Amino acid sequence: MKKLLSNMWGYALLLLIVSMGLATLFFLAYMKDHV
Amino acid sequence: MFDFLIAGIQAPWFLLVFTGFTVGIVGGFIGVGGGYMVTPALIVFGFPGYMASGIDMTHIAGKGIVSTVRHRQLGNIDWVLALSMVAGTMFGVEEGIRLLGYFKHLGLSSVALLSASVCLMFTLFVYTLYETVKSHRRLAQMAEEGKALAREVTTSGLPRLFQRFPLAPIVRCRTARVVVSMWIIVLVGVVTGILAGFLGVGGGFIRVPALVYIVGCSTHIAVGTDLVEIVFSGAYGCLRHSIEGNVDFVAVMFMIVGAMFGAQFGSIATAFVRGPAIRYMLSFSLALATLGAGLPLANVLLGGKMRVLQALSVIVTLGQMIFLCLFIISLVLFAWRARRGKWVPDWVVPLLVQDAV
Repeated sequence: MKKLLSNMWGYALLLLIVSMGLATLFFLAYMKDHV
Repeated sequence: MFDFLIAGIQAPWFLLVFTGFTVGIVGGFIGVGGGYMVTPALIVFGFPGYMASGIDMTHIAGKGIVSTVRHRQLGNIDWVLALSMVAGTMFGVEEGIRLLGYFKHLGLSSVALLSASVCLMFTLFVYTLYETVKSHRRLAQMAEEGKALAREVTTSGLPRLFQRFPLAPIVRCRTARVVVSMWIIVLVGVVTGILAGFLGVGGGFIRVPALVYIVGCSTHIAVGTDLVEIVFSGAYGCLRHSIEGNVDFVAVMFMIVGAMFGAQFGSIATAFVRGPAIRYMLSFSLALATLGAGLPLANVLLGGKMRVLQALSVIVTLGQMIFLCLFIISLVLFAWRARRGKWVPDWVVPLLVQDAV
């Protein structure tokens, strides 16, 4: 965990992947249900 | 699900509260209204485009007031700077809207808008990130040498260049600790206003770098002062949209409930970090906003046949809100851990203010 957090760019990339994943899931789920 | 009678749609109210909350955090921290994030989100929720824009602008005005009050308490507003810029900004916004009308008349509006957005945001992103990385390195070096770290460190030579401009009246901005020609401040207001009016956004992501790299104030002051501008421009936009019937006030209320808490958190979070941390968030926001505007531009240039690019653009915009929100929350958590003497990564230590470390 400490190793994962020890590089700012690695940490930013990890957060970005998680965020984009969440956004994609939300987009697909919401579009599927309501559009 | 909630029945929004004015907009004529049904949408879950908690999504509006959540959007208001996340954009409130980001806006309070980096000093932007967040229109470029909220409008696509509202369109995904089912609001018509014109109404998404009106709801967004009205909620920005409300959120701007909450953030401004908090930043005033933190001493992050220079009123001389803010009030000197307002007239220039309002004039610039009107001229920007007229310029947009001219491009529409030529039949180039969407290509011109998207191209201008992408070029401007990419340039700002490259310069802000380059300068922030240099400042971060300098802070780390100063910490290694055991020197006292200031709340703000910038490596840009541009402010000194603009502060030498000798045309009267020369104003002294006491809070920002800047002495500069009034014409430079007004010109920054006019130019950023034109760009904001032309691109149809509040303009915070242009004004904050301009205040730091042209006027020469610290990032915290730039954020607080820009939020004052956003209150004025948001209120004007809110008035215009309300007259045209583009605002669903019930949706605005839901968003403001979330934004009230988010904006407070984002504004208070600035007290835990040094200037480069805020500029990092600004540059990440600019990078993702560039991508978010670049994808629809590629779609337009390809003849509008790649609808997947439009969908990807919405995902990038939604992802951007979550990413910035998580990063800001994690910075506050790191500051909280550092204050208790717990382990934090080496790169984050120079970005946290001394009291928090």
